Amino acid sequence: MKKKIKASSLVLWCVAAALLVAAVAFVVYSFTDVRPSREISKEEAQGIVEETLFSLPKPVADGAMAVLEHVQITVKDVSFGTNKDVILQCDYKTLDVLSAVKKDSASLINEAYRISKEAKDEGKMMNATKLRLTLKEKLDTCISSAQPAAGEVTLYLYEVAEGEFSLYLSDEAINAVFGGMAELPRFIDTLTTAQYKNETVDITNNATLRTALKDCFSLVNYDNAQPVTGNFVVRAWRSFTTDFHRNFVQDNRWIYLAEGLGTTLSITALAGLMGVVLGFVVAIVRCTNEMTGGLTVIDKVCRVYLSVIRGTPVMVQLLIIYFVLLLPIGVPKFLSAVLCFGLNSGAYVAEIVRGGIMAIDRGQMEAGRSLGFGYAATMVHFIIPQAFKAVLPALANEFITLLKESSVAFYIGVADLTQGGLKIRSLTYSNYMPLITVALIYLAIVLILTRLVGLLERRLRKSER
Amino acid sequence: MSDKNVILRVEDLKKSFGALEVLKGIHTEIRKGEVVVIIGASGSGKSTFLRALNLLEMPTSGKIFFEEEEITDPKANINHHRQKVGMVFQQFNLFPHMTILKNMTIGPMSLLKKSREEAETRALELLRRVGLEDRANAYPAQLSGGQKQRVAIVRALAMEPEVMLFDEPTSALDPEMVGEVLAVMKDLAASGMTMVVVTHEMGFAREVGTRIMFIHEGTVAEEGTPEEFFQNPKHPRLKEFLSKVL
Repeated sequence: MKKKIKASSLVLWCVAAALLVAAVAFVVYSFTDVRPSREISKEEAQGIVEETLFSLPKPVADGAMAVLEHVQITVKDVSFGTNKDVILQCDYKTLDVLSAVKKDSASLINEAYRISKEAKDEGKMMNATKLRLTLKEKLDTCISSAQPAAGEVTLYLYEVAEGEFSLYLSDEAINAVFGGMAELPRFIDTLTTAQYKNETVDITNNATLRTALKDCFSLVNYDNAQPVTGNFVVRAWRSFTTDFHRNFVQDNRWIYLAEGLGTTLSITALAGLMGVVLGFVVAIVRCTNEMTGGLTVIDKVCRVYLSVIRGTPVMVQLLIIYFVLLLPIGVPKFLSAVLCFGLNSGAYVAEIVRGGIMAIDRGQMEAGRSLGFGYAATMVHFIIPQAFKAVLPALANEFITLLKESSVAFYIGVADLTQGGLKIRSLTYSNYMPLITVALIYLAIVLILTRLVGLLERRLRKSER
Repeated sequence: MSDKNVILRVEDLKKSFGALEVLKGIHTEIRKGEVVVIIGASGSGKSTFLRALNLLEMPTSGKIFFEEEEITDPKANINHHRQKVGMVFQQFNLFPHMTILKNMTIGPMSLLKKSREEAETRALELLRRVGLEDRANAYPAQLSGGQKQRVAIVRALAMEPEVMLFDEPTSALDPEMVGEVLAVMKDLAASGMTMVVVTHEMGFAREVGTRIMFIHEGTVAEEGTPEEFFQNPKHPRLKEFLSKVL
């Protein structure tokens, strides 16, 4: 019998190992040496490069069009990459328009400010296009003063579809070929002051001036992200890593989750503690009433508490406790959440514990009393320890429920784990990564807790056998 | 009235559960060193009577005196009374979450304020008496029924009671375990302990009992020494009962 089990588990292991090897092989294959499906000649490459680059400047962008007249690009060498790409070594000649604009930036922005200011004083509207046209002469002078530049640049063609290549327009490539034109908008954005009649004017909020300058050099919208090639494994991996970076690494966004997790765990721990204490008190009151008929008034209060808490949704309780009861007296959100979940959990714990106490054999109470212990002492020494042991797994499950339930705390704006995920979602506009991560974190904690409960149960069972 | 030998005196004890009157006025005295065996059909009220002696059942009316002190007085300290009255139950009622030793020492330690050493020494001595010394650190679930009942007896003895009450101590046991428990009880009786025993073990009643009490429909229908009781029963119900159980 034992051997049979071993043989079948061996087969299972073999199948699992084979699948793992196959998966690894597939992934390795996916990432290694994916060549374009056909070769490409220097002439064809030259054609693609020129066609792509020379169509970039917007026809209305005089500056860009002027630079374009001076741009020359020659493909010297063509070689294959390993990622459906073709590497082109190129020589280029261009105008260093970025340096020219940097040099003239002060006079350009001052002139732009003067024109728009005077137009405004005369009551005329001056939008970016009008301003640019008025500035044209000054811009032309600036461009014509630009120094020629030349050098070598590596461009990449990617096979985006079977046999079809497209030029990868990285910022680096644009900056080289167009003399820093990709950098230009960012530089213009740094211009925040203008001189007007010997006064320094803050133009941080005056976008019209900067837009007028930028428009002169604007390029058509191009995608500066590296083209996605390769099979679906590679693409999926790329998009996963990109999303992961964007959602968690960039700007240290993972901290939202870490802090949220901390908050969730503290709410759960504190509320759980409160729930257990409250639950035991209520359960003991209810049991005492049931067994001895005493504590009638407190028992009535407990009954009302149990009905109300168990008869209304926890979210409604949270909203009422925070917005109706505690916010007006200035209790902070976190504390309100702890109080609400503690009260809520207390009701469920009370019923669990009451069940546990009532399930203890009557003989235990009689044995304790017959030895001479009072009612309270018997409860403390004999009934409650046994009941606690009996309900411990149920209590742990209640704790797990509480952990998950605490996610509604975000309705009152507590920055818990769920809120952390939503915060990242609102920053990155991605859905699956933050939400699934939040779910996975909850799942991981619940699985760990469940495991611990299992160990605990086994431990408890063992101690008395 | 003030017989120094009387431990328990019961006067016109009545007990009703709702409309059902279980005890209809019982008078008796239990003297030091007596082994009183109570027999009767099920539902006759014999267990209720026994349980009333340490107030596990509160009498509806009537008085119970323990060493001339009225324990049915609402002002009486019931817990103090119960310390002096050991009780053994049909279902043993050991505390399952405590070791045998702890079962036996918790009472003396918390109620009699004995030191741990003193309580444990006494407990081990008692366990040795019933042959369970080696099970001191076991849990009740690890013991057989007979062993549990022996522990229950010595747990009650650890409180050094004046009188021991036994509520059908062998009824929940497998037949082969009855003997070991009865042996302990005989031994206890021989040591001079005052005992009140509700049982169906007629052999024990005859052999160990100093007085037999037949309870029928809530009253003591007949009582006497084992000899006259078994050889010459007078009450027709007793005759019928004995013919069934003997």
